[in-house]
Amino acid sequence: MEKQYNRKKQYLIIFIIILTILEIIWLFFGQKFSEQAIVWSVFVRLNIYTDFAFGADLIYKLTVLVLLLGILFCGWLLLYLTEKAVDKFLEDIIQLLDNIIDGKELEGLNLNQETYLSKCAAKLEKLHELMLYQRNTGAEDKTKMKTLISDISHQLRTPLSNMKILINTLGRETITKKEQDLFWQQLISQMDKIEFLMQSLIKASRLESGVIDIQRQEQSIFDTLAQALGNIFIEAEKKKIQITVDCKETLLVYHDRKWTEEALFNILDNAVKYTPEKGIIDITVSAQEIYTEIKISDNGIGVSPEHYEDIFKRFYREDKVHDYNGIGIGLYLTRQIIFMQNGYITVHKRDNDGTVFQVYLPNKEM
Amino acid sequence: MDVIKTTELKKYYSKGSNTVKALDGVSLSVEQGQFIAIVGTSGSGKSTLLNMIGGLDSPTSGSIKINEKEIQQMNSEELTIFRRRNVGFIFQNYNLVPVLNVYDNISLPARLDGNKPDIKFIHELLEFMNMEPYIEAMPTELSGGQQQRVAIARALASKPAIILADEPTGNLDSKSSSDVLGLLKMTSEKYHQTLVMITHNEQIAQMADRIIRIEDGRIVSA
Repeated sequence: MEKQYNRKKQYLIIFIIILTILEIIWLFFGQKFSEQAIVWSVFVRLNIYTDFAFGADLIYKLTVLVLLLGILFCGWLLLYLTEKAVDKFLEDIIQLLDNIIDGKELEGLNLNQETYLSKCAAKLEKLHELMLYQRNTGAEDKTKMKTLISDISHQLRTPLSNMKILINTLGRETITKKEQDLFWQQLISQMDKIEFLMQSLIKASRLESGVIDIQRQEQSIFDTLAQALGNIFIEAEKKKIQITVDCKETLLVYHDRKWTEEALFNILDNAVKYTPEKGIIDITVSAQEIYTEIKISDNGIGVSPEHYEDIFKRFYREDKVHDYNGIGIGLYLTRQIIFMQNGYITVHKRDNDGTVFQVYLPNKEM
Repeated sequence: MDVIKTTELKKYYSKGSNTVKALDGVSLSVEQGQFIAIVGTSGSGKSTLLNMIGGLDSPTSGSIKINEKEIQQMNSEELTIFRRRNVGFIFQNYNLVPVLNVYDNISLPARLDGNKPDIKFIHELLEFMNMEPYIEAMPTELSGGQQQRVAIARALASKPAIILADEPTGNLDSKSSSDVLGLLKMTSEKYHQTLVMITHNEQIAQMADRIIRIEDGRIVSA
């Protein structure tokens, strides 16, 4: 439709120009022509019938008037067509918007033309898609919350029932002092487990719901790494695991110290846990153009390739780590923390044995 | 809604009695916002598939629907406009315009569409990629990794709904590779874009939401 109006308008504009030129010519030379017009035009007959009422002067003035009216009429027609085109365009846009409000698909519109309507419609379709996505994300968040709640109840069941049994047993009078001490120990250990579980779950849900304020600054990654290492140092010493670190103290990365320390700690904790005595943990930090890479590799029991994705899931633990302590939430938290800082993390085998984690954090704010 | 949906896509090249089946019945659907890795050996049909999704090539038979619209029936003008508005391409060999500087290369697609480029966003991208000092440099003055970053900025600048990348890290060293990948993954998540990437590198494929393996023009696992 736009093209039709455009063509009509073009013709009209040409017509107006021609008329205006004629008008100007007539204004300057019309007098002479109208005198001659009497000789050969139809006005001759009119003059004869009306007794020479039409003089040269009158013809001249009439023609000026007609040309002027012609120009005015074309001008009006131009405005009218423009207004109709705009109205049509706006009506189409309103129809599109109605469709979006009703949640209908945008149909029957050719989005791939060089017209304004087409451009507008293409953008509106993008907007429409974005709105649908946000609506769905809301639903997803609810599902996540449901999953979290059922996870909590599931995970707490075992330690709580253990505690009930222990408390009941301790209440009996027939147990020995030695047994009593043992059960007290176990009770405390179950409570520790619950406490750790609750803390982790609260952390996870806070991260997911965006309640946590991640405060990033350009600061030394070396210091953050050092703090994380400080927390696993003793365990590593016990197992005589050798840790090597290659990281410039001056290297600045845009990150949140507290949370990144926690993310790195979880990886290091796993490394120490799943690496046998006298093993090695190798840490290298190198800056690239966009990201800084923190590579943590160990020669421990490794992760099977088919589980590379799974290990980052909540409460997932490979069968082979069954005998080790842990609830399977560390790497999940680590990935969340890194993601929220616009970074990413990969895992793969280290040669024949062991694991390599590569954590990437952006150097600058995006 | 499936942003990309192909049904029994076939591309046959025949010369005399020989028929090369580049694609032999490929059907797949991709949801908006997903990161898909297409993996396969040389000659398996990956690039053909990608080019078809982007409207750079037309199938012998089968249909391709982008946002529920059949693109194999569009004429050349419609297809050009469709590509300009919806797709960002990244090629293995960068394909920057050698006579334009970095900024002009990046803003070219937007200007071709008669729009004003989002100058602020372009600067943000360049700043993040550490390319701000090179904003007026010519492509020949840049390294491979830098050129690829410019190519990515060009693909991202108009925030298209779909980003198609054909071995974007193929010509890059491992450091530049991880930079480029992280950048693509991060921006596509942030702006809810669909990212379809061809790669032969398993580690890269690992980062995707889905891996599609192609062999001899057919999908072997999805």
